[in-house]
Amino acid sequence: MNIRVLVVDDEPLARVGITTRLSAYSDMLVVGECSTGEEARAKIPQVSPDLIFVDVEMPGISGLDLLRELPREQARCIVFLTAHEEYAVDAFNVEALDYLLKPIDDERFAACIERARRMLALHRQEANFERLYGLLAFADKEDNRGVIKRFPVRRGNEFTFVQVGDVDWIEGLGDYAGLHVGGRTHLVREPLTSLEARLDPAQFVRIHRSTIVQVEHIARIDPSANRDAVLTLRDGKTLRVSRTYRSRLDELLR
Amino acid sequence: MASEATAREAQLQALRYQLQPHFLFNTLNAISSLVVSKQPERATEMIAKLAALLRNTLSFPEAHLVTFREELAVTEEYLSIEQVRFGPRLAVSLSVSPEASEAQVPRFLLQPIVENSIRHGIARCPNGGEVSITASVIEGKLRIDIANDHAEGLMHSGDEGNGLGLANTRTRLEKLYGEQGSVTVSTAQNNRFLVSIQFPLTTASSIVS
Repeated sequence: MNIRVLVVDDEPLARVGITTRLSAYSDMLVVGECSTGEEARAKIPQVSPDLIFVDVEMPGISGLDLLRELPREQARCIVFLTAHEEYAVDAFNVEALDYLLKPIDDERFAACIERARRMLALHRQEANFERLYGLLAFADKEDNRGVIKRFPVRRGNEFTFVQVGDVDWIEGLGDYAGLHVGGRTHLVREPLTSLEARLDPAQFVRIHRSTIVQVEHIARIDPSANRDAVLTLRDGKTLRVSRTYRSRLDELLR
Repeated sequence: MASEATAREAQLQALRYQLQPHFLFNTLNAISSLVVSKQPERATEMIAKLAALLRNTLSFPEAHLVTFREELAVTEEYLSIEQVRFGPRLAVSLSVSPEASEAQVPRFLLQPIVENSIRHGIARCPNGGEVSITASVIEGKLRIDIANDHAEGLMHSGDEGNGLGLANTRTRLEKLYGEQGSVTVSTAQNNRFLVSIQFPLTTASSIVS
């Protein structure tokens, strides 16, 4: 797979140094060269580079300023070029992939290319996974009532499925939800609230702002202070029930 | 004695500039680019220029006065290195009268000023610009003008480096020529930054006699 590279430096020979070195790598495809930050700002959306080599000190907007204002998805793999060591901390702060000191050391350059390849391979894998996950989730997740039957989950690079009936409880983690299944936790990319809407309300119950449990897996409920309660699952796990959700739980268990 | 100390100061200043990462490492990087892109003649030429520049700065000749011609030759060496780095972005124009050419000037007088005009002037212009050096003799005084284009809205007179460079030059001229020497800075003509230096004309023969 080719890696699309943009080279940004105000010194023509500095660009030659990068493009010439890149020509030794068959997967590196130089898609553009810019001599100022302004030029690069216009070029990046046009050529959508995977990897950007950028000089720090340029007339007009500096390499660092350019990166600070670029949207994250346009600037995943950035390598800074500079004669000055002291910019390293700033480069780190804008999450640069690497930082090459001028004059360029060939061995160091090769290591940088290796790092970029690994990083981009991970990005691609992630993007593929997202696509596949989307397909699986769409094709398989719901029965005709719009209720989830099983969750596609990822373990390393493998896909497996978790049957809805095996889930003990679900934990809200911001944009993600953690499926707790027999002592294991699987992450799915869906906020708890939108997930709740696709669960069978007779099978799952919300007991807390960030907790949903499988009704069948509840062992007992004990009252605690402040009209809250403590719920114990079959496997011994205890979870807090907030009073806001108490009535719904009582209703189900009646 | 005092003028010797300021001469030493000027030499240190020139050396300090040449050893700055901005100049030295970028120049070495340009040479490295010439090597990897298989342009050995240009690479060796640039190495020779850099060596000549450093050799001149590191040398300790007896005289702290040199002819303007000699001072200009070193500056041209420096400028040709910068021209390789900046490519067509750096234009240079020189205009020196024969009389001015033989005038005695303090060693390292020109370099720091020209370096500043590139570093704070041309290097900040995305489309580049021109550095011009003119020297002539007017009414028994040598007058040297160093002018450069500068980026829109960017004035470098307040820059630390530039301020320091000119302060040293001023002190030095004062010690050598008293009230007869002067350094002025202006931005009047064509929005260009201009440093003008004036001091009484002396030649090697006039010093000997």
